[in-house]
Amino acid sequence: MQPGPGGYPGAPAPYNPYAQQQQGQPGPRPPMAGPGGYQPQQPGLRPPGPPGAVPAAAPRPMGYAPQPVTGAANGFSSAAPPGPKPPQPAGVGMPGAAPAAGVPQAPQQQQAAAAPGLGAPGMLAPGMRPPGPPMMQPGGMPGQPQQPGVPGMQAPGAGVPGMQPPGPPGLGSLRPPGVPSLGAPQPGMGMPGAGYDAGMQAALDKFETLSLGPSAPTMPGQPADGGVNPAAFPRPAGPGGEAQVGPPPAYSHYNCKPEFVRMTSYAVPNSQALKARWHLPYGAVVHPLAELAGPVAVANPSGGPIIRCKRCRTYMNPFMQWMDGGRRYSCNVCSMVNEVPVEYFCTLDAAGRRIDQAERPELCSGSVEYIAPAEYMVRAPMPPTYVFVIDVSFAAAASGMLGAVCATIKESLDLLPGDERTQVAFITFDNTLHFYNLKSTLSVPQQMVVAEIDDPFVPLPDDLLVNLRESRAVVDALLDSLPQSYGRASQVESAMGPALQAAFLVMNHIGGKLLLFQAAAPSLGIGRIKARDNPALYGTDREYSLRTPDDPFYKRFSAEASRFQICVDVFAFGSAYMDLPSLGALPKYTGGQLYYYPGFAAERDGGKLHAELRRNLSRETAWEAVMRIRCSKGLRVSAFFGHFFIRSTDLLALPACDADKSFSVEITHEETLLSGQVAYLQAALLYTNSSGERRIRVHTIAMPVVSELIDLYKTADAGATVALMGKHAVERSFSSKLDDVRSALQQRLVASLREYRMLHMRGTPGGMGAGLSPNALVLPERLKSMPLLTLGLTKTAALRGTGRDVNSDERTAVGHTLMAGSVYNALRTVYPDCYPVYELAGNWGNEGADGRVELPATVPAGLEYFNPAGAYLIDNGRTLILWLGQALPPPFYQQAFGLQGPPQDASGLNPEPVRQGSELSARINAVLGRLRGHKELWQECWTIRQGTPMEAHVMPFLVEDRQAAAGSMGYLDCMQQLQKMLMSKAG
Amino acid sequence: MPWELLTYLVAFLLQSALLGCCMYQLIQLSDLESDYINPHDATNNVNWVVLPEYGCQAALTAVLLLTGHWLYGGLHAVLLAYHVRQFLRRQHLADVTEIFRQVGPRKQREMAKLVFYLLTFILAIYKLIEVIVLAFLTPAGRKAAAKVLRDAAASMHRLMRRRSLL
Repeated sequence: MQPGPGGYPGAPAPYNPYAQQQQGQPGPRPPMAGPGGYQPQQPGLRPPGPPGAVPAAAPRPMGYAPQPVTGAANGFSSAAPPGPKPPQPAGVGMPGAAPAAGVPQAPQQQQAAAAPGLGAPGMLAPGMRPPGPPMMQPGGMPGQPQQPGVPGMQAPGAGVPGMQPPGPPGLGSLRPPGVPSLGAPQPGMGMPGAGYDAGMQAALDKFETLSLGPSAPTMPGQPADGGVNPAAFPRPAGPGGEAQVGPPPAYSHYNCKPEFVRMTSYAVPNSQALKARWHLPYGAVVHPLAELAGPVAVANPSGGPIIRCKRCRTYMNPFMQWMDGGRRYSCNVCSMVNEVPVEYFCTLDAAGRRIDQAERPELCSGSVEYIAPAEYMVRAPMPPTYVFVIDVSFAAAASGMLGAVCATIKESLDLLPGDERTQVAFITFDNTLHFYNLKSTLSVPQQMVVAEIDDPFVPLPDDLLVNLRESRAVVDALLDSLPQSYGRASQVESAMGPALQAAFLVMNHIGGKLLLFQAAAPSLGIGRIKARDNPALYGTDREYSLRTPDDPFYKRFSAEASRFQICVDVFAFGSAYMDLPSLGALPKYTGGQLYYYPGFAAERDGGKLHAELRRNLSRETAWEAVMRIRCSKGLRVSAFFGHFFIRSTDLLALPACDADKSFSVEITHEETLLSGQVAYLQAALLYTNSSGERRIRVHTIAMPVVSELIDLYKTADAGATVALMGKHAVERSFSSKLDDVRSALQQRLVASLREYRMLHMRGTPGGMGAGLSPNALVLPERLKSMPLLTLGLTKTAALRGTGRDVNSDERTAVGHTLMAGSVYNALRTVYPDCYPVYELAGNWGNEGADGRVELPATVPAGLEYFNPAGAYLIDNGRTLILWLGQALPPPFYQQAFGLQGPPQDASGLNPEPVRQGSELSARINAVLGRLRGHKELWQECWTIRQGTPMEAHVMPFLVEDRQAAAGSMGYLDCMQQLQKMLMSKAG
Repeated sequence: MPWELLTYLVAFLLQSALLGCCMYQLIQLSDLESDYINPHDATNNVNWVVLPEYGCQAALTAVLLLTGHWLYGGLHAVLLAYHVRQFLRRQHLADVTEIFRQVGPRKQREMAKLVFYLLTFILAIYKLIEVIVLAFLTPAGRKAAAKVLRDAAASMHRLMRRRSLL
């Protein structure tokens, strides 16, 4: 029944047989960069196809050329000579005319480049490959309509009524003038379901090659002629795995770096209808202060003017269009024509660019920082302020938390940003509140106890919050004495709510960071919590309440705190249920972070606490910040995810922000049709830096407006997509059942793949019967690891299982890191990296060419891919697990741990510090160091040996395996189920 | 009959209060959407009228059902059940941290309530007038009504004549 059975399934990489011939590069290239990349298509770079494919390759006006296609739009009639790459974005878009010559060799090449497992070329279904089907003969059809849905095309005379792609009428302005709007009925069009137009075909041509990865699985029950081979499934592991989930090449080299802004798709659908067919989330992950991207240039170091559009307040960026000899410019976001202030005036060159473009960072870079003048301040910039609120009840002393916290704070005092401006205050609490007078003239701090916890008050108007530099000696004395005074505390009650209120009173005139160290569940006063983690609620309508704050105090307090520029970081150390869903609301709405140390014991977890608290205190922090994200006219930010308080429809209030926080937005269409060729997104963060300067950091990104769904798939970013899906899912879990959340995730994926499949079938002559093997699972090239990542998402602690699998504290902690974390972090949470660290082959663990420690190539996160005689380091974003195989030879133990052989209990093993004279140990430690660098969470390294009961702790991170929990799916099960779902509804 | 009149008078007053509360919330929410007001104030203002509204509505339902207005009271009982449910789920108050997420659904809800209140308000007015008119249909009432009408006609007549003279 299938014309080419076994053609697609099971064949290993390479996915893209065209990669080499298209680019003329001998080596592997980033899988996404190929056909249909961002650049305006150039004749030389097009995938060759037989003559039949030529019309298909006709210029697609919605392509990535920022300028409307002009001139000889009928590409196939005029083989445009290869030209230089047009400059962007002002360059003239190359229509991407298709060369008629040089195409026929494609089939041979294709065969040659096909992977070994691929069937004979004949088995490649016609139409599945870039060479267009014979029926696509140009046949002297002048001007195939390139725009699906160009109004004229919908005339009944087209002969294919109803077969239009469901897009709305295309943009008339986009269609090159003079293109006949009606294509002649094509041979073969009589067949129902065969309708398509050349534009669509063009897009598909470049796309199917990529999409039909040889690793598409078959249906279960198919002859398994190497068909179902999970090892060949796509996954973000192994060489090139990183690129699979990375961003596509930038549309414009002026765009800000992907470390700052990542879009789920780097193209903007031109209509609401098109957007509705993109079933995955559409939006951006903005990481305004990312450290990895390096420093950002300051546009006005001497305090020059800040140029903004009069109407939409967009900041000056490289995409503004200059006119009138440089006297005026047209805003790229709202098209408003603005006058250029005299002091900013500069003449234009012949190409319409400003002559001083290269000297001005705001005109030649997508990321820029401004020094803001007084108009951007509501009050004088605040000094960095840290208020430490420390639980000193019995649990704090017993776990050693108090000592560890005080020691770390004392050590980090010199690292606090802000030099001589920094202010600190300390409040401790058990069943009473203790304030400390830290006046610089005192030799020892004076303690004041307030027993009134129903309505706490501050016993001293000032001298509680003091300048650190002046009172340093007193602060040191306090931190030394605290662990001693409360070392034998017997008070088990903990009045956290009142302590927070007191801290609020101490700092609300200035704002700053409030660091709460909570050793046990708060039990007194307002905000005390109940043991409410009731697994019986799972599956009921009240399930969501397990994940939302119980006491309204928490949300109210965080809203007030945010109002007064107070950011709350919570360090929770409970050994039993702590109600993190409630405590977590404090950082969630104040731009803070939740740190969770379940069952904290100082000797074991002290290192983690030390590293994380130190990072929290020493990293560069942006104070009293607000962030606004603007998009082009017709687009609107519809939802935000992350840790912030929404102050007005599009303004995020961030009492503090730092390099570890990212914010995500979903973008919707406000208008049915977008009018421009290029759409823009600009994120602006206005903040006070630690040295008291008000600054604005602006990131701008330009994206092409496209009218074809396929272009969205081609420029998709799997990493950002899965991060946004994760944030979406966590947000949803606050109001619905986990089961529903998980199935919604899957539904979304299925809907998206189904849409993609339809796209395929429409582009295939004869519809599904002749073209696509009915059993082939078609995955978009750039999103081919989405099924696995979605599976991983449902297996994260935030969304996995029921109450018995993960308690709600852990759920909340993981959910919080997923919400506020970067794409990098989300990817590791969803699909852990597994590094083999037992062979000394290769250069891993040593410094590479870029000056960083090289990492070993990852292996898939599944037990069957692990060598029992090997050792693997699993990085899941929260911890590092060193997995030791059962058959690991003793020399490994000797080199890595200095032991003679495998010990009885491997859980106590620690690969750190470096064992003297052992290269392996040095390399493992170097890898650990690299993986831990510059992250909010410091990852402890646990050692777990295969076959011990401890192995159960690794299992959840081996995403590709089926797990113990009911209904848990492995990768193969997931793909088969996906297949079934696609088939059942796609019909 | 005076009891009936009193009932509808009370209903009319309570209905106007409900309408007022509802409109006030709607105005606050739209102000918030168009950024004329900050979320803290908007939430405070909205929450300030929620409980009075629920109270008025409960009182109205009680009055109607106790006086045996089954249809009119029944309509309000349905809404009361909804209010009780919201209250028990602690969803009646706007949440300042989530207000922007809630503002759309909340506005829709208030809009629906506004329509309901308007319809029942018209019902109340209709009934009120009906009761007043019926009160005049007793023999004594008829006489009084005739007198009132006659006086009215006379004064109208006088008025018109004066105007035409001018």
